[in-house]
Amino acid sequence: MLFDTRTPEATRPRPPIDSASHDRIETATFAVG
Amino acid sequence: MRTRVGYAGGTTADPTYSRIGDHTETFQVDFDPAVLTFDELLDLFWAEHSPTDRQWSTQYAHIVFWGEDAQRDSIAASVRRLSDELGQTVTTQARALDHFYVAEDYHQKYYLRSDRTLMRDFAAMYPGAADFRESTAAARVNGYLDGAGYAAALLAEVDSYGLSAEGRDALLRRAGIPPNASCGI
Repeated sequence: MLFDTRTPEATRPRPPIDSASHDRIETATFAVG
Repeated sequence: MRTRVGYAGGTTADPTYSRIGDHTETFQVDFDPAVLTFDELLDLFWAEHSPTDRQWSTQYAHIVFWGEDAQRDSIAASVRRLSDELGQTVTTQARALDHFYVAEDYHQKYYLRSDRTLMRDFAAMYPGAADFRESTAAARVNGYLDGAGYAAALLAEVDSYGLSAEGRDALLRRAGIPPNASCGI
């Protein structure tokens, strides 16, 4: 039988701060050792 | 705001932590310039490392990458300014970002992963590794666990992280804040 690789369902709602900040506009990329 | 760690700057295909090749350990920040500008992020970057040190290792080099021309121009201006202020050559590299390789899941949100109480909440909110990695709440909690930020700011937004009462208390305790404190402290 194959393994079930589906992601399980969330059992807590996603936090409000995540839904309030989904309009990403810019990405910065750094390396600091 | 979202964050992720990974590898960039090299030519090795599909790098991993154990086969990083000529890449450098790197992090990305997705941000809203209306809230925080790229120049402000640059100021934090310069303050977080010594920009005139000799760089010995590619894996742990200091590099600022640009993804678009406006970022390249901001970086060039800030390097000139910093060089004038310090009276020394800035050895931190500035390069165009060719490709960012996301690091393995176990490197993402490193400090948060070490807290079993908080991870129980986040695993319940984000059963998928990519969703967890890209969570604003996870990024902010991870930062506070690393000692970043201010108590008043944490108290003002802790209830927007979606945590259980137990998780909330664990976060405030780790941040050195009494669980019944108000954001007026």
